[in-house]
Amino acid sequence: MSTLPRRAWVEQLMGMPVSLHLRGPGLAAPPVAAAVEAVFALLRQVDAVFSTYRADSDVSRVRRGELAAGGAHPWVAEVAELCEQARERTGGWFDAMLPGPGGAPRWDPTGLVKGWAVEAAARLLSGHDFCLNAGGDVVVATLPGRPPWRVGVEDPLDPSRLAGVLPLAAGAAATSGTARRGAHLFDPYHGTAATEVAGVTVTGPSLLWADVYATAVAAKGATGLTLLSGTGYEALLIEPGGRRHTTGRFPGAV
Amino acid sequence: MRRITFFLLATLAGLVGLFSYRTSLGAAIPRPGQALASPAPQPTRFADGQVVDGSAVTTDYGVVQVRVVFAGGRIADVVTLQVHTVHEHSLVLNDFALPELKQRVLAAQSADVDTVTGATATSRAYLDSLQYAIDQAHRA
Repeated sequence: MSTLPRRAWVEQLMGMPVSLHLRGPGLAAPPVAAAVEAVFALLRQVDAVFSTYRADSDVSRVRRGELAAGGAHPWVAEVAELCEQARERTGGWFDAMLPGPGGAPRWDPTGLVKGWAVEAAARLLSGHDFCLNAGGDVVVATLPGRPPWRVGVEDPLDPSRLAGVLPLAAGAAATSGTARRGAHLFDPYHGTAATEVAGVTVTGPSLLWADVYATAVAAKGATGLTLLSGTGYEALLIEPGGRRHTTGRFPGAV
Repeated sequence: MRRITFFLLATLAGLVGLFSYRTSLGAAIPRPGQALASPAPQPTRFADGQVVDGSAVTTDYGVVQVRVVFAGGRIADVVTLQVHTVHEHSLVLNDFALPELKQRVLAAQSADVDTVTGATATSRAYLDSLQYAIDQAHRA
């Protein structure tokens, strides 16, 4: 049983709750407050550039043709390149071209931006013992001699319960599924909403890729777990009927 | 039902370290209204059988007050001391909400987790989530 001091900070950013927990002595020190503020400030800036809900964001202006892609914040090109890599690495099961309101595909990098941004924000916490949770996607780091963070995996069939626990000393865990927002995932091959997966949690070194793989597997279904072979990422998948699948080295108790 | 659960959670969380988790023996008690830069709260140990009563809070549904009973540094039970409802509909809500809250507190605590991964939580869903309760228990 740990007696490590711990503090939490929470802000609503990019349309989701972002909570940062730090462990260890000296959490009241000004440099800690500065690091915490830097994390939230970066995420606010990312939102200003990428939000598809904000008419004045770079991405919204590019979509309306008011801003050339080359004139947007350099982050936009970086994310566009990563979206392309993500599409290739997942055999097309992650795709930033999503159907718009009229059905016509349009570029929506939101599914990748979150992981990319939160991972970048986590880098500002180097040297800290932290757990950063952005809308259910998690990045942690643990200082030597400290216990791993225990990440509960929400049961997609009953969000008030946990489907398992994943001890995580360093790296990320990301979950995709239909539990929270209804059928919001899109199968890019069939043009329909994906429903075969209630929830899939992917863990590995990078939040960006854990998140991309979680999205891709959720879109493809249980057979999508083969996308993770040899990647260093592991997953727990739960079907709507409750059946569970894990990859060979999924580290959690389920 | 959801909303009253949220009120109960918030009421509870604001007054005692709602979840013990692995830090239960040294859980920090959040002090309502504490500023970000203020010193971290001192670790507090909840003794066996210790009872902590929240203050009565007026919600849209009536007056709610909860009592938390600790055992082994963990929450052993959650009891409502008073739920003065505004109208009959709320009585029905309360019958559902308290058991749900209690189950949630006890289930999460027994799992001993620091954080929760789940499909993207909307701001609204967050208020009714385990992660919210964990965050509240450790808020500076």
